[in-house]
Amino acid sequence: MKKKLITTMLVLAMVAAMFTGCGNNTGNSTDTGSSATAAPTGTNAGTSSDTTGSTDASTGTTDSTDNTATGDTTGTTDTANAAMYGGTLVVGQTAEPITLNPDGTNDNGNLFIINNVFNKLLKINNQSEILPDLAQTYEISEDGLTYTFHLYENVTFHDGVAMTSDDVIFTFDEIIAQGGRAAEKFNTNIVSITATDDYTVVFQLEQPDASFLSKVAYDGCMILPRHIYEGKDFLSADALQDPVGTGPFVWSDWTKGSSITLVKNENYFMGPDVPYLDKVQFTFISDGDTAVQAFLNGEIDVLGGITPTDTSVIYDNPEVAKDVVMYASRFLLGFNMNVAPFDNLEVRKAFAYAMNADELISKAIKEQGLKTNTYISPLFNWAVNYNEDAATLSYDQAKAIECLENAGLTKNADGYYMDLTLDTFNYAPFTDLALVFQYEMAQVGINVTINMLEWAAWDEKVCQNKDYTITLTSAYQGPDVSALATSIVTDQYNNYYGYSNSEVDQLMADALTAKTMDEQAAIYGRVQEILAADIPYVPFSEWVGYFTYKAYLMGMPSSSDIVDYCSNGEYTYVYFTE
Amino acid sequence: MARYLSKRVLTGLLCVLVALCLNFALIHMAPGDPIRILVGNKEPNPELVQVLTEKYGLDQPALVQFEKYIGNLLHGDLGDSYYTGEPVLNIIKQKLPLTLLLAGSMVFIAVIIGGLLGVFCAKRAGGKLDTFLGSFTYLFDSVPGYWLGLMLILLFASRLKILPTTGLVSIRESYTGFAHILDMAKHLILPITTGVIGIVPYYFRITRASVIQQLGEDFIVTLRAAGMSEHKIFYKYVFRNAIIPTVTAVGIHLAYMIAGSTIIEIVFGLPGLGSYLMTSISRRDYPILMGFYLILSVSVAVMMIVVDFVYTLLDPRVRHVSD
Repeated sequence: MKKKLITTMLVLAMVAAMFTGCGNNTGNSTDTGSSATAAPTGTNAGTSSDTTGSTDASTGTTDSTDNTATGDTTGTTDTANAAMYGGTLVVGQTAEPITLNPDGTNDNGNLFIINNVFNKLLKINNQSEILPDLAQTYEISEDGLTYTFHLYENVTFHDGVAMTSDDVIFTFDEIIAQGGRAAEKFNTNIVSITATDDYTVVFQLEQPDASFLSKVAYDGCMILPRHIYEGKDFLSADALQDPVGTGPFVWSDWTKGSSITLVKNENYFMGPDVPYLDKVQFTFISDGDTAVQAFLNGEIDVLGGITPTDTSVIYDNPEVAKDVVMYASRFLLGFNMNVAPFDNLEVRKAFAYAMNADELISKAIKEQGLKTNTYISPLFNWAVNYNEDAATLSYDQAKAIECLENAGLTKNADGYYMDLTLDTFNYAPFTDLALVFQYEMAQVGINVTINMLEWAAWDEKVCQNKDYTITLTSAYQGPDVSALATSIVTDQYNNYYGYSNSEVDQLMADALTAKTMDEQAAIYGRVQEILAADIPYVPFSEWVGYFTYKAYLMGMPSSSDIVDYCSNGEYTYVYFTE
Repeated sequence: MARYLSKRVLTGLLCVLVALCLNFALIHMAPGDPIRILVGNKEPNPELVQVLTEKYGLDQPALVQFEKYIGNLLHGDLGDSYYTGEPVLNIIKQKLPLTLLLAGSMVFIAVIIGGLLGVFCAKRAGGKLDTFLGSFTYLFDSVPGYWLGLMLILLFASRLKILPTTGLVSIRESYTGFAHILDMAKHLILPITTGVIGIVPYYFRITRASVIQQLGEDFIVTLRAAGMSEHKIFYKYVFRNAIIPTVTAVGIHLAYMIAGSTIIEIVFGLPGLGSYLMTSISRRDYPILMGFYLILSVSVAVMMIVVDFVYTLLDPRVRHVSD
């Protein structure tokens, strides 16, 4: 019997040795960061992107050049390095696309992919600035009712057919007619879209709309080829499985559940130098921690938007570069003002006083947070009212208790002024946020029970049925300031607070037709004062994102040297330095 | 025998039908509207929501929807995904082989390792090695698969750099032929090892307990007294009887592992049925969920029938009763 045991163990040892042998090969084969075809050219991303510099993107009213948190690039980003042609960029992302119609539905999985396959008239970069895309220049009429876009004349779709104003008209007609994700932004205010020639498109508006350019530049407005998509179902056409755009990369292959491959568009209208890369491969790794390990092990080059649980593992590594980007998304505590006692301002004030934003950020949101006390994101600095009467209330437990007593509340047998349920999400950082929040509220005599929900269940309970008392959430407040209307104007779709103030409704409408940024800033300033007084919700932190990539990459869309030329996740100017 | 088996098949079908009803009710009762998720949360367009709700028949009463589903099912139509528009059957055909390969390999290897260790320890019950291995399997039993997977990645992929971290094939290389198979095999070593470590204790305990029980039976003492060799007693009488509980476990486990490999698929980024199921749950993609759960209940039913059939081969008493 002993002999048999020894034999069995020997066999097991041999199997283990065989596996180890296989593993060594794997290590070698996956450790090939840049392509062998790469060749130095002496052209760097800065010079090649000069072609986009002719348009003054700040003509629009969404000028936000003075933002606060971008371009913190660490690692090696020496622009003196010669650009390298070729190579395959491997981008890791957690979500796989649902559909490939860039104008159809809201799909986080396809966003970065389609940004490389399609173009818009204008685009928005990582600093929420508007940049030219297919429209080389544009003009706005004096009365603010006519927007004229002049298109580049050398643009072709990936199948070789020229892109003209006809495709632009088709795209916007389809978005409106078929209810694309951007439809609501256009269907009530556009009188006509016409072409004066093959490369000039004119949008005629019913009323002036200071946010029109940002709407055109935001997601859901990618220019589609009429000759392919005409007459097709907007959401589920087969053509959408093999998308044809004008972007820097051409759709190549989708291995479901695994990866999507794009190859270089040799006829890109911003070429012939760009794009530098031969291929971009998006690989889907649903577990964030595994993605981080794959990144560290050299299997992926870009950790697309994934923030690691333990940032020190990554950011102390000299081979890693990161760009910090602030989004117009904000963490906030929302009240259901239609439900007692949150119809009482004193109670809402009590919660605002009881919240310690520093603790919420340091213990729960961590690096993804940045304390805030304004009702408009600092990304739109020109519109922010920094006066004290427009700010959220500062943390003060004594005042919180005073407010609760002013509201006529008394402590129950358990020593609490009230018991209530907090609805929030069942994923980070909300799980931790809820716990810290629960502790903070207990300090002032509020007993909070946490109800964690997945997004769909939260949406149904809070947004649709308004069956809640308070919620911890994050809300997107872009692409420009006017979007704030969706969450504060009476009965708007993101106004699940049940907030209604006729002066705010009127001011938000006035802001859209205001002709100058100063006029708009004054209006938004007043809106912020009213919000600070009414407290329908309490914003307490900005949402900060990390774009993490290997330091051997240059020209990343989030990096400070290229941010003025690229939209979010666009890899036109990326190249390997080694 | 035929009567016994046909009775088991009928019971299996009934179980699948009950599971189908429960699945339908539970999926539709869960909060969250699939069309709202499909259209997107930022700017829900009421007209589009209505058009899509009607298109997928979600405006009709639940009973009518169920009736339609069963009708289509009888024609072999599992419906189309709300999201990709792809037939559910095609998606299952794409995803199932990998999950079966994972589940099958994990159970197969775990049975061999757990079984061998179980027999080895049963013969030395109470000894030092038995106690040591017993405690060790309890340790493995209590290790969460998610954590174990990450630890194996840290050790073999990050530290030793001998195995890949994620995916089914190398992203940067495109292999063909045998090299492609070898590449896939390398990618599957860590996921399968994670699964095997998690279920080896189960087979270890079952085998060990049943071998110990069989070794203590009176007829074994009689056979020994009659002078039969230990070798013959073990393989002819002990092993054959002791294997029956293991066969039951394998049957149930195989079906269970199809769903149970979800965590492993997620951690290792494998495009199997389990990880797709998780995505479909968050999207409330009803046709996919119904289709996947149907596959799960059918596989449990089929495995139970197979187990019953194998029983009749292994145990003459069962064969006798069934006749």
